[in-house]
Amino acid sequence: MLERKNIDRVFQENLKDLEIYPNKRVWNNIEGQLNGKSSRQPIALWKKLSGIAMMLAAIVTTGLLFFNTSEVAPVNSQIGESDATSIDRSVDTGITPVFIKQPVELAENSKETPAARRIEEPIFVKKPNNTVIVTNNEIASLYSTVENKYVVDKNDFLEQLDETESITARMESIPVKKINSNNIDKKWSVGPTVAPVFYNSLQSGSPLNETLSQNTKTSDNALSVGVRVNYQVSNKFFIQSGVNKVELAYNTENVNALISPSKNALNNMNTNKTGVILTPVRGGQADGGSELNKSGISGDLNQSIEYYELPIEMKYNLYDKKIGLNLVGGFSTLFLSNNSVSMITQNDVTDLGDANNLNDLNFSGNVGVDLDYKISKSWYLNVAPMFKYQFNTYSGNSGNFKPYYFGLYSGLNYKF
Amino acid sequence: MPMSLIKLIQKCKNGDIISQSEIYHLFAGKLFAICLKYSKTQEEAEDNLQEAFITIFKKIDQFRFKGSFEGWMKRIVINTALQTYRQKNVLNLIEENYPEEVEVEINENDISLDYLLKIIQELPERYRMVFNLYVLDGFSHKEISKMLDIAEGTSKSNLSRARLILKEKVESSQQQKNAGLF
Repeated sequence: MLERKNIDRVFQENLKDLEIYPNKRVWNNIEGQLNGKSSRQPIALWKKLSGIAMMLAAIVTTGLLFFNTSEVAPVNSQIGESDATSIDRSVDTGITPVFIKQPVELAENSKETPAARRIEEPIFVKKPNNTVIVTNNEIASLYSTVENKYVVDKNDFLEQLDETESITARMESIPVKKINSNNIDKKWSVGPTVAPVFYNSLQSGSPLNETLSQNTKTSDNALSVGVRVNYQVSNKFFIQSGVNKVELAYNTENVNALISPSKNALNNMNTNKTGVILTPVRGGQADGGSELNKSGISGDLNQSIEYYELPIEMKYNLYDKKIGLNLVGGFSTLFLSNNSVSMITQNDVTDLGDANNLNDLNFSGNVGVDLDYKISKSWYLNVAPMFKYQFNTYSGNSGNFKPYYFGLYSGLNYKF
Repeated sequence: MPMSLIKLIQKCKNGDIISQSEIYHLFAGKLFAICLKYSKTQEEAEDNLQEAFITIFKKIDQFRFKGSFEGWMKRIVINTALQTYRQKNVLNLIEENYPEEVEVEINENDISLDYLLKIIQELPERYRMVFNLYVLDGFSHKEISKMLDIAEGTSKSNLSRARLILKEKVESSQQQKNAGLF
């Protein structure tokens, strides 16, 4: 049997201690009037506009109901961004929709004593015995972040406040425990990136010819240029992608190249001339030579590889102030677009051909850090040292060559 | 009264806008809730709150730290709502003969707070005033009769009528919910 209650008591108990925060414009108008400006106009204008909006909404809704006889989904209120887990959005009032927060328990699930917590971090916000209603404005969002943390009585807060301290400043200084991702107003950013790239192998070896495995290999000037798109998934997580043109190059030093008509070449190369033999230069420096023939030339063997890279990376934010620090991890799909092998002697560059054991499609695992510097709300610079380890780069015999590359990516990004 | 609040009020007396802002942000939630109860619409409540705060800051010199500051502000808010009510020139309702005191009981379950607020706002102007003043803000029928310039008996019968309207709305809402459940 349900207990019946006096209607006066029901209203008194429920509406006592009710706090509903008004729209920000109310204070703006008051401030305007206090400063001697007449600012009641915005409300009147706002009323007119909202009247028009309501008429339009009514027409659209009627139209939808008329043309769509299926069940109409409940419309959730869109005002306010707050902790969705504790907010009931299904509100059906004639007034601007409000969020109803669940009751807040005072300190019961905390091991610390309330007094200790207050000294450590005196937090404003009291909450009524039952429920709080807030509408969307700065104070409301402040409440929503604070309430789940500490709950103290408003008067207690005032008593502990230093007389010289500003209440709003104190409230603003309250550390934000969690920021709702919906609060992020600019989720996308895009910008060009450019990076010097250093290409090398984790193990000695030569993908071109086994005999060159012990030769010293050095990274040659290489570059990655591209466009990066970044999407902010939540307060801490970002997904980034884009496209880069990567030009990698490395030199195998002190190589002798000669043509031996009698011998089949054992290189992983398609050469311009048949019978090209690559051997390490024995005993000291390569001494040049002018033409690729029987006597051969010696110098550095240069391999250049070009890829189109499509990275997909997750970025996790560790620190976010004027300068931000992020960890980055992900992988890239690399499409081979060009490769060539040439001999660089003291006087000349001789094109030998291209490698035939490079896969058209390969991948890399990427890790790195990303530092950003915020120039304005819409623009930021970033520098990201990234390590990219390649998989499936070679088909067949790769001479134990395990390539990776290291790039220092930098760019100017625009947020929107 | 907390010292910091006393300091704030004193600064407001000197017209310090930062302190005024702080007073506003400290009490706007509570006072706006009152405005909403006394108003038909959100916009009207915003207008009343705005008007009330202007009055509060203009008259803050008159606050002598006797009694609660919040109570003092609340009174200004209610007065502002009453002024708005008077300006509306509400047509006198044809008085019906309701018993002066009706005991109205309802089941408390399934009523949301916002629904209670909504049905108060939907009450006819005078009923809303009387119900708020008597039930929620504790004024007597005698005080109400002066505030609204009506007879005491009218205040009582308005209150009874208001209670019955509210009861009807609560119960029809509960019935709808129950019907939806089964």
